[in-house]
Formats: sequence, C-alpha cells, structure tokens
Amino acid sequence: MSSTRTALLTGAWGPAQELAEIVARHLGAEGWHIRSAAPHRSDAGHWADHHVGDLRSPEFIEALLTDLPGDGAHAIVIHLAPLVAVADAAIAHPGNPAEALDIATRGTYRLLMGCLSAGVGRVVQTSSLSSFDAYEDGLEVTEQWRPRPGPNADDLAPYLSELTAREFTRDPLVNTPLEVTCLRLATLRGGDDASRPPTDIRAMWTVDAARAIGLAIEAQAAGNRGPDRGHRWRILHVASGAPEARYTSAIAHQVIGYSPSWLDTASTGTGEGAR
Amino acid sequence: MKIVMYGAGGPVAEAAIAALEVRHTLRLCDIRPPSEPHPSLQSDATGNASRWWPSRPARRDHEFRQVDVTNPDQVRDAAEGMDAIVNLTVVRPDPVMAFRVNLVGAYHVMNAAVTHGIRRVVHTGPEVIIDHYWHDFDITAEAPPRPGTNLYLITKYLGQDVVRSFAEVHGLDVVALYFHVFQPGDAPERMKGASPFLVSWADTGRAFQAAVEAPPMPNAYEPFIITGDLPHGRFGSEKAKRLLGWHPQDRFEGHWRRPAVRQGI
Repeated sequence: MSSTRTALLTGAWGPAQELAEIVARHLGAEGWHIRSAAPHRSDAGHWADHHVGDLRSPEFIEALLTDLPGDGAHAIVIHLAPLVAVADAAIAHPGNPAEALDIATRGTYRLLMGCLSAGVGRVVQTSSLSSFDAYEDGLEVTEQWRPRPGPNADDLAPYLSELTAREFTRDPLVNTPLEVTCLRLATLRGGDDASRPPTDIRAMWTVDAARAIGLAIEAQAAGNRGPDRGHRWRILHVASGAPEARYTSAIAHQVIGYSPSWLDTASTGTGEGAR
Repeated sequence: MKIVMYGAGGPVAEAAIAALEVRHTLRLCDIRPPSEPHPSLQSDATGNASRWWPSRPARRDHEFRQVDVTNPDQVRDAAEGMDAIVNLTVVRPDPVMAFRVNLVGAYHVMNAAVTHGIRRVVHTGPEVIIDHYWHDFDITAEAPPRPGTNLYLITKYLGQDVVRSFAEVHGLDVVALYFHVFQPGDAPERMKGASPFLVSWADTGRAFQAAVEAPPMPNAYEPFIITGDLPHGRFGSEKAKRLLGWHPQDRFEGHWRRPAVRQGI
C-alpha cells in the first residue's frame, strides 16, 4: 500500500457515480488512496482499486477491508451505498423494490461489522432528506425533527441504513464503537453549472454534496464531539444552501463549515449564511 | 372475525391460536407445512420442549397455507378476504434470513394489509428496551428502542420502523406486542433468573385475543409491553390493561418470593 491513508468508497455506481468520482478526485488530490466498491459494473469512472460485488457478502466485505494501512487506523469508509440501493434492487430484483431494504440494511450491517473487525473506526455515511418530505413545506425542519419516511423503498432504504449505523456507535457491547457522521442529502443534481442554486427547492448540486463529505471527514479527524454532546453519532442535513431551499443546512454550516460552491461566486451575499 | 396469521408454526403462535380459535376463523400460514414439527420439537428426545410448549385445549382444524413471508405474492394472496393480520414471523440467528424475514417480510405483510384494506394488524417482536436500559426502572413501551448490534434485535427493530411507517402513512391500526420471556403459568422453576419481563403462555394467548378485538388505538402504531404482573418495577403492563383490556392472570409468585430457607449463597 503506497499511501498512508485509504478511503473506501461504497456505492460508487449508478445514481452516486458522479458523487463518488468527485469525492475520489478531491481525496486523491490530498494523498488518499481510493478503494471503491460498486454493486454492478459500469462504463463510467476509472478506478484503480475497484471492486464489484455485493456488500451483503462476507467474502466481499473481507476483500474490501483487507490490507488496510495501519491495521485500519488510517482508513475511513465513505458509505454511499444507501443512495443506490433502490437502483441496485431494480437490476438485481426487478419488480420487487422491497429488496432494496435488504440490500441497504444488511449491506450496511455487514460493512460496519467488517469495520469493527478490521479496525476501521470512522465512517461517513450518506442518507436522504426525503424522510422529511411528509412535513408540510412551511415548517423549518432540522436534525431535531423525527424522520417520517414513507412506506416505500426510496425513503426506507437510506433511513433504515441510518438506524443500522447508529447502533454501531452506541452499543455498549462493542468494545470500540464506530464514529459515524451521517449526511442526509437533498436530491442530487449533476452537471457543471453550480454557480447558482438549483431551481428545485429539494435539490442540491452533487459537487456540494462532495464538498460536505470532505468537510465531514476533516471534522471527524479533528475529534471534536462537543456539537454531538459527546456521542459518536453525528447527523447533519446538507442541502443547496439557498434561502428558498426546502431544508436548511445551518447546522452543517456551524459544525463542519459547509457552504455550497455557488455561494463562493454569488454576488448577493444571501444564501447559506442567511439561513 | 377472519384472521390471517403469518408464522403460525411457532410456540407463540400456538398460544395465540389457542386463544383466537375459540371465537375467530383462522387462516394459518407458515413456511413449514403442519406435518413438519417446529425445529425446537424435532430433536425432542427428552420431551422437555413438548412440555414447555403451550397447550391448545380447544384444538380445532384451520385453513393452512404454505407461505414464505419473503415472497410478496404469497403474502398478499394469503391476506385476501381477511379482517385482521397477526404477524409472528421471526428468524433469530441466521445472518441472511434475519434481515429477509424480520425486515423485508414485515414490509410485505404491511403491503398486504394496505392492498386488502385490512386496518388491524397485530405485529410482534422482542423487547428492544432491555439491554440498554439495564439499570433503569419504570421502562415503558414508548422508550426509544436500543437494539444494539445484536442481529435478532436490530432486524426486528428495523422491521418495527417499517411497520410504523405503513401504519402512519396509511392510517392503519397496528397493535405491536413486545415480549421477552415465556413460561407455562405453572412453571415451578425460574428461567433467566426470575425475569422481570415474563408472561405465561395462557396470558400470551389472551394478549392476542385482546389485540385483535380491542377498539381502535389512539395511535396508528401502538406498542405494548406484554408481561405478567411482576413486582420488580422495571416493566409494566399498565398500558395493555388500559387500552387492550388485557389483564394477565399468572404471576409466577413462586419465582420471586423468598424461600423460607435459602440454600447456598
């Protein structure tokens, strides 16, 4: 292993392909070795250390978590797979979207069990803000609100993955619980023009999601658990940052310094800072 | 009332059937046919497991369907024409099937309820409020679940959240019964150190009868601790008494009364 730090990127495929590529590019530029995992083969992306397989497979998990620098202490998992579980199920189990629940939760459980065994202590997990769409639009929903996922795979797969991961941060029977930052993302919108907020109030630019992941990794490494009252579980809402955005990113702004890229070039001075 | 029961081959189901078959029409579903004994009875050379099982005094014949709860079509078809659902499916140690039965199966059962307009669903599960509240008292069914990473507990916990989502969005009327330790009401010996969360088979059956027949619940997903009236002060059945009209009758006094002469330490 040439690098002293390895980032394992799950779900580097399909709906999260672009996000994975941006995250990998940024981390690679900072000297991280990138190991990626995807449920299916894809023409997109050029991964050097890429693995195609099912996170529910113990053998696949073992292969992913082998040969890590510092016996895992210098590795981090960036868990994008909950974002692609529904698309994965549509291919693997056509007509049975409920299979996404198994893919998302059992895959997360297996992965995090593997992390415990391999000595990987830090995870940045992605989820979806769609679990809050049941609240009326006029409400300022924050991380302090109870998720209300609809009874469908799109909502439940990432939400139940959250619940699964949270237990790995607080189980007293686990000797060294994991440290997990969970980023609930707005709907990802790709493309190059991120100089202004997306018009869809529930959407955000993929580049901004990647930016939030990078900031979450840095904040985790800093080791300040104060904002989380000492807990090893951190949950942050990450959206476009626009004043009219359905969901505020104010806590992410305070805790990890998140601000969207469009704000860097905005001339008005409104946006994230105003929310 | 016509009731479909998934996971009808286990001991808790036996207790539930014993109580429900007196007044209701049952459609029993299980992945194993009735001719195949439950795993706990298959190697029962000593007869201990048989003696431990609940009894069914009225033992009647019921319609049976072989249903794999992970198969959405089978689950949906079995619920057709029914008035209520009782879901007793569970897998504990299997790292694959625990997720598929306890979580995905719960999804299919609730989808079947919505498809057929069945509002009353009796969901079941283990307590996920014991280990992490180990030093607490007056613990209620509303305590936030803390399953930890235990495979059985976490998969049932995830299934509970699936059920709750269906119930809240579709306005269903789910009664969730949480259990821990079962024993025959006349069991002379303690199990698990005189558990503070213990119920007899007969009271278990009566809990299912109450859950099926109770009036609409205040909340779409209403959880209940099902334990006998025990003196420990850790878990109580007050809510089940109040909303379900269920009153446990077996108190296991011999388990927790101080013996006249204590042996050993």
